[in-house]
Amino acid sequence: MTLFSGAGASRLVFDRVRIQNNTDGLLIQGTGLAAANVHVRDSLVVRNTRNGITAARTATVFVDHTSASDNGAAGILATAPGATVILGGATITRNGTGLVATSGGTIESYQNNQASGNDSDGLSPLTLPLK
Amino acid sequence: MRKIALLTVGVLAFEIALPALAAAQSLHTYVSGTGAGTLCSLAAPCATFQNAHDKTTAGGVVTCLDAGEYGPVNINRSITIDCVDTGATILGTDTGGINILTGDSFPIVVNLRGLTIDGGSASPFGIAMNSAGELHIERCRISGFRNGTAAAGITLASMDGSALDVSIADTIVTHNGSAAESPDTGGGILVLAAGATRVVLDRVEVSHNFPLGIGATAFGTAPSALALRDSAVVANVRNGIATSAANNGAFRVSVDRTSVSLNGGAGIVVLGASVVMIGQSTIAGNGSAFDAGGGGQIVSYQDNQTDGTPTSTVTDR
Repeated sequence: MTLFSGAGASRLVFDRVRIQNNTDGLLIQGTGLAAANVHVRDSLVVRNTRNGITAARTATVFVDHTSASDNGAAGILATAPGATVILGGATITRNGTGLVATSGGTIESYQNNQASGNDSDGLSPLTLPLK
Repeated sequence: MRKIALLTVGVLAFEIALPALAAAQSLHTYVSGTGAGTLCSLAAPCATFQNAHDKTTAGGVVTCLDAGEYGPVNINRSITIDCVDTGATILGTDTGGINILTGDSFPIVVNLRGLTIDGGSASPFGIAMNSAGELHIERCRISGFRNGTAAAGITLASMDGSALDVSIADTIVTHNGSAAESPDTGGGILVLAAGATRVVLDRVEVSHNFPLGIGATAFGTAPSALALRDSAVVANVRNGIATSAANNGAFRVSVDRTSVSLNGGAGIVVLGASVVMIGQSTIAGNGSAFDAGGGGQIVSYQDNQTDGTPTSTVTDR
């Protein structure tokens, strides 16, 4: 599933969605200065041949009690300036690489995720406190 | 002699009328998309919920046999409308979709299952409960109720001195409320508690409503409660969950394993003597996370994912 977010602000919610057996699982890209806000909750992003969830533009992507597993490349990829992926209660396992941030993207964690068991678990995310 | 004859005729007429009355209603009635019956029996199902309701005794069941648009219905008795997996729909009119109103404080129990209720932007409410008793909504979708100053998907109004107990499960409430006419009222689910009111939402999605996702107001002194569990209150135009209290009323709200995100205003608003407890939930990406005023409290179990700061915390035990 590819989301092209244009110049305007975008709000996208995925609730109990299964994204499976695609090339890219969930790919957020596009141009424009306004941020895209994406919330993925109680969902599965699994068995995609490339990346599970990719933030490739200015965006905040909250991965909330969601599994990104068995994807061929990265489970979570943040790959643009201003691309932030926040993990809370998520499971990132059995991917090529668990967590990848490049080109100015960042990944943050509430420290309550199961992110292990990947071929490579990847980076250690920035941490956020539970409140 | 003439008096005896008249009495005999009267008795006969009464005896003839009794079976007619008994046949007029039954405990189990049916509707069908191709129905044209008048008794709403399995052999001759009716075409509308209103006909079926009127032919159903209190405590009875209306079953949908197949897909169809069965029209709005006024409910004045305990009843179950069971249409799971049939494709049953209601298109709301300018008087609403399902209006539950008894006109007195006698408690009733209403179950609604498997309904798609669409307002087409020209109807004021999808489901309105203005009676005492219980309402249970399962596996329904309520959308497009946008007509009027307090347009809402679901309106739950309890009466002073009477209790109201509501559960909503596996249901979507989306795109309700009027942007043009109701800057401060209306939305997805509105709870107006004059009497003791308990509402439980389990696996419910409340999204893209205007202005509120969920509004809960306590008007009376009876304690009222709203519990959300495994639910999503997301992308509503203004506030996600807004509680307020007046006349010494108070709402206790629990938000448990629930996402309150991407709402244009505050995620959670508490005004007056109400308390919102949040646990294992996500409150993030809203205009602001929390807004508490007039003594209202937002209390966290310190296990939430949020970009805001609750008013106070408690520890797990």
